[in-house]
Amino acid sequence: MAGVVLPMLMILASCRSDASSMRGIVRDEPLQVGAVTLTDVTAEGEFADHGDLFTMRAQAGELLVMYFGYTNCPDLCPTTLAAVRTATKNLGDDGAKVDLAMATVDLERDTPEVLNGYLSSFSDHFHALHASSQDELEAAENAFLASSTVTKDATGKIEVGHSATAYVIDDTGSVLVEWPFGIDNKAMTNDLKILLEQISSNN
Amino acid sequence: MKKSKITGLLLAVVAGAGFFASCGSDDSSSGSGPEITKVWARTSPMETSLGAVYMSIASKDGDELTDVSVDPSIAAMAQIHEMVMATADTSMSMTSDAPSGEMVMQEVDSVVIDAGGSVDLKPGSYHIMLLELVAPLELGAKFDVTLTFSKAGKITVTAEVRDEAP
Repeated sequence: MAGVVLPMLMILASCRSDASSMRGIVRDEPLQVGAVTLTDVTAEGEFADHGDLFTMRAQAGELLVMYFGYTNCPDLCPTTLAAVRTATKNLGDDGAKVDLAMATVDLERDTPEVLNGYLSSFSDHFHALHASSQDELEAAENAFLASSTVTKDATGKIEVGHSATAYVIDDTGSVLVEWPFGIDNKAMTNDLKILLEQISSNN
Repeated sequence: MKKSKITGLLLAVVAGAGFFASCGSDDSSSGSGPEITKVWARTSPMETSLGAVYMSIASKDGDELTDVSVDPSIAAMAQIHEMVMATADTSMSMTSDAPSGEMVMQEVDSVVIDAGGSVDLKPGSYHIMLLELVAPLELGAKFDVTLTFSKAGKITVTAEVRDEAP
């Protein structure tokens, strides 16, 4: 009996280690965001001529890293976006298969111009997303189980709270992995490599 | 949290003695002042006037970082900030609207370094925020940051601008 159980355990163990080689969070039932749209204000880089509405899907056979952030964010946003930048560089030529999209949660201060300038520091192929209304933003956030809060105190000082996860999306709008804040560029590189290999072996 | 005043005074005297003993040598000496390492600032993206400086502060005798400043040629202002996860029972009046799970930034008065311990100013935790940057922080640039400690007084360290933590 033990002779049967042991190999089975080993098989289970090896399945587990395979799944856990992804460093971010992989849901059993991935979030589906392919129907979510946001106003696209990209004016620089590869997607400068993109239409006015962006749908949350990667280009065919590629990956999209999506982030909800704001440019007056000195700590979390540039930490995550710089790690994404390094990770895509680490991929070499395959880095071109990873696009970046950021939707600002600070609709008032982040004008399209500011947003474009900010994102061009992190990627040559980015989508600058600026919802045309708070409702549009919240609908998108809800699909990602994300949230944000902008408050202004009596002195006019603006404070922004936001969930700080980055999402990796495929060309069907399925969120393949979620990177909570703090995941470093090596872990991101690891995950992107695995996902790109999966995509190319499926094609 | 806070030590008794007597203990604090004693520590201050010891720290003071250590400081004088190490006169003439630099910060890296084995005196009892805070030991500050891995000082870096992140390259600042275009179109933002904010920057962040990080470092690790260790102290044998314990100390408290109470103030930070940079030359006006770098940024108009520097503040100590902390990122915290908003929770349902948060007592932060200003951010009480933020649902749990959201990260919010708040200014703090000081950072306490326990005796024999160290505190990392790092992304997602404490950082020194630079406001109204005069120019973007470019990769490889260096600038001074002056830290004021309640015991050790002012200590100036040099931050290197990098893309990621050293």
